[in-house]
Amino acid sequence: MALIALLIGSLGMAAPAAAQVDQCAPPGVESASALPTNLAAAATGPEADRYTTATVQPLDSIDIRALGLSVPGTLTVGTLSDAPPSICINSAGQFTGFDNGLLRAIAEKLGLKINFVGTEFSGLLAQVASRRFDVGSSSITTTDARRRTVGFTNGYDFGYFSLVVPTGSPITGFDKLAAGQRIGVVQGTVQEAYVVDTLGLDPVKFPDYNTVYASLKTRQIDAWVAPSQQASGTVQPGDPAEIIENTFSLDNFVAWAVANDNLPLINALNSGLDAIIADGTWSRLYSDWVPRALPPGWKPGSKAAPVPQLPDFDAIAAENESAPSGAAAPKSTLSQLAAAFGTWELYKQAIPDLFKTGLPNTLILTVSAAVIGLALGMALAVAGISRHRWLRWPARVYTDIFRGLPEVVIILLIGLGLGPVVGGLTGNNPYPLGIAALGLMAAAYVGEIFRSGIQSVETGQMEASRALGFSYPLSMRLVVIPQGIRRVLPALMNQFISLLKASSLVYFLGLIASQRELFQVGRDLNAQTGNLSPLVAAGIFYLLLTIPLTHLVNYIDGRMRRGNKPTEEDTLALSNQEMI
Amino acid sequence: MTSPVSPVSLSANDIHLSFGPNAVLRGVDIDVPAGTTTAVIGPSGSGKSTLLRTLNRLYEPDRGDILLDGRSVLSDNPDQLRQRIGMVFQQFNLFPHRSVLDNVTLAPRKLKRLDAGQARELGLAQLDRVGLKHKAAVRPSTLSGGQQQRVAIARALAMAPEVMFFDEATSALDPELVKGVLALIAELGADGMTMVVVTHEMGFARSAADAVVFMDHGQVVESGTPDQVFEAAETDRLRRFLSQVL
Repeated sequence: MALIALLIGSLGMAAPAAAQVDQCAPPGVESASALPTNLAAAATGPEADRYTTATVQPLDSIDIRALGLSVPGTLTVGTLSDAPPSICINSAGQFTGFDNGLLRAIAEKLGLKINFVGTEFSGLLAQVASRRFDVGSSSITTTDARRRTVGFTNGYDFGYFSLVVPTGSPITGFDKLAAGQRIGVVQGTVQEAYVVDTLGLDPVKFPDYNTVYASLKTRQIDAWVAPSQQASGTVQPGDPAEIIENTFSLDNFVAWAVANDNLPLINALNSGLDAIIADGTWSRLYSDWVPRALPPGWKPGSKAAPVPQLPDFDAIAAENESAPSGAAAPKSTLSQLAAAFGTWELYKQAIPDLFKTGLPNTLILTVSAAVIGLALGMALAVAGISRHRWLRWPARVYTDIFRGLPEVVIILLIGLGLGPVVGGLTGNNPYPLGIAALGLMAAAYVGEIFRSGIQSVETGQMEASRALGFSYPLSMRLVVIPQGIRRVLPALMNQFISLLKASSLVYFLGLIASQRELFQVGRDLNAQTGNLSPLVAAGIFYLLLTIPLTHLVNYIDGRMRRGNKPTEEDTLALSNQEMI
Repeated sequence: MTSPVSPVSLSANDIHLSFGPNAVLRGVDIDVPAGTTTAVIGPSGSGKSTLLRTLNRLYEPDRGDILLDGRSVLSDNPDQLRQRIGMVFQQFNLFPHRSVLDNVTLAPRKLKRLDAGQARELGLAQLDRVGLKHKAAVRPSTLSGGQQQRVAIARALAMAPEVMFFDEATSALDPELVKGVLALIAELGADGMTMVVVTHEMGFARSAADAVVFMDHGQVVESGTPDQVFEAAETDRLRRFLSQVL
């Protein structure tokens, strides 16, 4: 309670300081940058164009029914919400950014609908390979290692790595990175491979860009090796961090991932890409979102695609450089903290979404999983105390496994592992899988709770029931189980609270915007703005749900301890009935 | 009051029962003619309560036969057999999560398919018989021990049993409540119920029982009329037991 009071107090104070930037809006051509002058010597090979196709299929010869789409007529795209300007979710809750803007234009050219689904980068390629998504769009730098998992389209962007360090760091370039430093990367990215393989160092792995950057700003890590787009999109003027050096990799262009064996779709996307290069769409989006000089020797699309007409970014950059950019004064630690937690506008922005989207989804996930957990848990409990070992034994094994695994492991194994197997059943929708995973997990705990409750009922109860002529199952159902459940109600409520919190893990499976539960709604807005206030708002929603439940548990518990004394009215009511 | 079911005879021949290496019953014979009361006495651990639970097949005997109305019941469905034999326990074992009336009507409703109205009528009649109709709506935990045991008796009688078992029905009661419950049991016997009463109340065994069986170490040591057992004990074991309890 004190914590909430404190948070609310800090809201009021921080409000005037808030000047929020939507990181998921196109920065415009004015933000153009020249080729980085501090380019480190990079590993560029002569075989740069090994994968780029010489030409493409004519657009009008493509049969969109033969693209192997999981939903016919719709391009289902797995993407991320937290890597502006390439990929992000805007304040209208729409997935956009340079990469997704291009993809939208290509889909239009092909006459396809497009559906974006948010997921985690670490699982994206696997989900594309298993055709959970038709396309993976996440500024994916192509590497040989990745080509073993998925196929790629022609390049639509290029990447260099940026080295981001806290202001005033002794690290001044890639060559200064050394063992013993904490170097942050996002798990599963090319940067991770670069740090491990090329630099031979051991990086600190993070689940997403936002968390790495937050850790860098608070100096929990010494450096961040980032894709340049992410770095330039994330590092804001006045932040206690700077991009210190860039390195360029020509042979690893940025492309969309498609299942290896889905050549028709790769060809179609390549045709679409050349088409939007030819009609100027690529140039327009590029100038809007990621305006920077093209590196020498690189252009987007197939080898036959026209060279895009772009403004002279070097000149624009030079002009802006000379203009006083009002070098933002570094913020004090306190005002940074206040802004990070207490930005009132963001609370106002987050709360309607949390209420309309997050809350219903969290409740649906939790309640559905609880129903599965209760039903399966009861079966496990009854099997667990059975005299037959072939009932007892499987119940034991199930309980041991599902109670012994971390929640996130169960969610990922069932959601990602089972997903492709039962894809036909769930229409590639991870939502029911998330419910199933949560329910299966809850069942193990609920089963143990029920079992302890049932076993706490005196044997005389079963004996008396059997002596009246009730069979064993009927005695269980009418006499033993109802008493057992009463005794474990507080424990069950606690389990329900755990389940409510665990429902946030479903975000690992990739949900479309309308399926997002409380945590992901907060997380997306947090990713979009780099500000923690939306997460605090989501946290408050959780507390509003869990604190009353906790008190309900205490109330039930207390009532059961005092005993359920029937009132005088009960007796009166009955005698009245008799008189009538 | 009770639906008119004529009581039947109960007998058992050479009943053996072991729990693992523990021989609890070692060849018990018992014969209870229809409409009579047999009291079973004996020291703790002599197998009296186990005998009752074997006779209604809560435990299956290892050997021997059980006859109800002259017919063996060992091949019957045990659940159906137990519907014919009412049982009252030392610890009452009322269902604490249900009202007094529900305790009495649960079995008739679920096993005899009585509708709610019929069951209620039957239940209230049974409660009236034990003097507790006014407590029908309360939870058993609010009643005294004597009242709870009366409800347990009403619960057993509601199934219109042909035989009644009492397993130390007054042992857990406060002394001042014992008399009333014993009087109720005696009254039931006087009404012509076939009953087996395991008891430590020698006064009751003497005055209310038609026959008394003395058990020790899983065997029937002596049996006969109350006068024979209490006045003319033949064995040292019975004499020693009587000298301790009387």
